[in-house]
Amino acid sequence: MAILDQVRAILADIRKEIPDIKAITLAGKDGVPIYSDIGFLSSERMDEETVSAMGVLIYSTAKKLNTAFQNGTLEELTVTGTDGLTVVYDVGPDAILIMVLPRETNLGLIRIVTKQAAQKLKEILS
Amino acid sequence: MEDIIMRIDHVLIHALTKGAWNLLGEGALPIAASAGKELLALFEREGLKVSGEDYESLLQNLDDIYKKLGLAEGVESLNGEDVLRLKIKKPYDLDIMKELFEEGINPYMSPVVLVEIAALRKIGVKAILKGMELEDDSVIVTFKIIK
Repeated sequence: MAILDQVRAILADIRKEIPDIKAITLAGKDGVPIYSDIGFLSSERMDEETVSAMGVLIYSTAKKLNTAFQNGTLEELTVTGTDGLTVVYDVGPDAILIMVLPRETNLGLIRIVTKQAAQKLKEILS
Repeated sequence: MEDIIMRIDHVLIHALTKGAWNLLGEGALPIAASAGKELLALFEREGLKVSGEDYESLLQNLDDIYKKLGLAEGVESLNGEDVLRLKIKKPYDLDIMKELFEEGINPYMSPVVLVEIAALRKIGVKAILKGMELEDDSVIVTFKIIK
């Protein structure tokens, strides 16, 4: 199966487990959108390329900050807004996974589901 | 005067590349991609249309433009399975690139590289920048292709 089809299938599985996901994007660490489903966010000012670039930028900055504070390996980045969450996970050396969720989402479930998915994505992209 | 301007250009590209890398790490790469998009738009405003149905025809197009503008002696594709390696022969900013390589930083802000990345994205090729290396007077940029 082509890489993109495998990626699509894994992201669809995540959506099945967490139906509340508002948007999901797998982005290369250089900011290239590999696969995006950003739904309601899509507009002239917010396209998949912008979402991917901003995700990589913020994740990378958080990683640098985490290292500077000697907090070990960055496992997850969560941006909490009054109306929603943005969660970013590392998917190996090549990519990150960005998800937008409702504010009340159970982060424990997200962690379990994405940990498995991230491992699969890492293998596919390696 | 031209020499001074070239020198300022040189220092600026070097400083921006190093400064952004030191502060942001990989986070600097999307900035380069965005800058590449602007450069591509500038080329097109100047009548240099960068286009292609696939990356081979795109590369031919880029090769012509680089030669015309004196940005490099040419671009060559060294393809492997799922990997695209682009060899930029004698880029005009090779000296800056060499200095950055010596400092352990990829010259990802080189205009020649920026345009390549932006051009690939423009034709819809999903390619992740994997690395850059110096080979004699050429720079090889490696992308992983996601199909």
